[in-house]
Amino acid sequence: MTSTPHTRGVVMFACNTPTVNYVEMAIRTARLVTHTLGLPVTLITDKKIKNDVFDSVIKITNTLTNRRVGQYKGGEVWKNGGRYTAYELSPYDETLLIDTDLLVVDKTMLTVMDNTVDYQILERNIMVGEADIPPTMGITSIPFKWATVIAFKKTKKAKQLFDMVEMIQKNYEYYCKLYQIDTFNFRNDYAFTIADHALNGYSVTNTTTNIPFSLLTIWKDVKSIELLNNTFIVKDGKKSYAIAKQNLHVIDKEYLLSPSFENLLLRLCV
Amino acid sequence: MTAEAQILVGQIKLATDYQTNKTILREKIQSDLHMPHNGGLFKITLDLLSFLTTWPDKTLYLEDTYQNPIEIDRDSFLTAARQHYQKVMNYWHLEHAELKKLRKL
Repeated sequence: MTSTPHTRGVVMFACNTPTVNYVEMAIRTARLVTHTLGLPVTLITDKKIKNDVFDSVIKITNTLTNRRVGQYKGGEVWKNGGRYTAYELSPYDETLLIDTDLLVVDKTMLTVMDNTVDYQILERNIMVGEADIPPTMGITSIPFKWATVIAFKKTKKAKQLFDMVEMIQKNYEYYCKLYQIDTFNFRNDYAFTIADHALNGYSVTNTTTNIPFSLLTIWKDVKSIELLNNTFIVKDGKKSYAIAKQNLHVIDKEYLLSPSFENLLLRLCV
Repeated sequence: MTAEAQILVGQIKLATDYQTNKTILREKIQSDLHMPHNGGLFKITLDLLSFLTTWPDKTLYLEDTYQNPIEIDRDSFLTAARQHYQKVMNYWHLEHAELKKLRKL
């Protein structure tokens, strides 16, 4: 009897909006992921695209209309729904589900995948040069986790997590009230936090599904990121930061789509 | 303000904050201290190294980061843990020395 080979890969969601070309961002991130981790990347998107950097492209219909405030005055369209389909759509036995704005430059994620039993969610996110943002979903709510990085295997418990996220997305207003969430625009971070909370017996002290590593997030607008020896020099227009080369979560979409970032990518992918 | 002075002011504003960089680096080291062993993941700390050094039995069970009991061969784990700890601390020391030089960017 022959056994099917065990597959492992990375999945990203990217749906373009009037203000941000998320698919282009995903292409850039995929180049970095493939170079650093040597894993295939699958893109889940709402438009038909073909790019050799992807192992496969899966087309979905993204119907969630969401908005968020941030870089763009008055808010912007945010197509962040449907992430719960990752479990069904991922072609891999072991999946690393990441955001398109995550720069993977070291192999930490492989260790995370090696140690995943059912699923693991990023718990600790450090904002570079910022005061810590409130660690809870609301003043009287529970601490939240980050859907920026989720590692999962196709197990019963992982399926329950994604099924529950689907239920939460479809009944988000109710869960906002139940968990006393401050904001009403749908956030995957909150949906996965609530699902994980329920699956772990409503315990906030259970850390077995937390990724034990922290992730650095650059929250402000980025002027430039340079690589000096083994150190990232990040300039945000007001301050500079020297960061030992490690995975970075860069929120500034304009920077990630800029020629300056393309140049950095070329250096990182050598 | 002259053009030169304006450039100077801009550069001073861009001066990097050593304390912030130091904190960021420490966070990375806390992650790097984790080491997989025998199906578990352990954060190598001074407490763990001391405990392993003094534990008399060859085989023991230790709780890992994911709250699972993992069977450990004391000698091989201690050797691997020491090496890992030393490697990460050396890296920290080197990177920290670099940071001290980078007061201005």
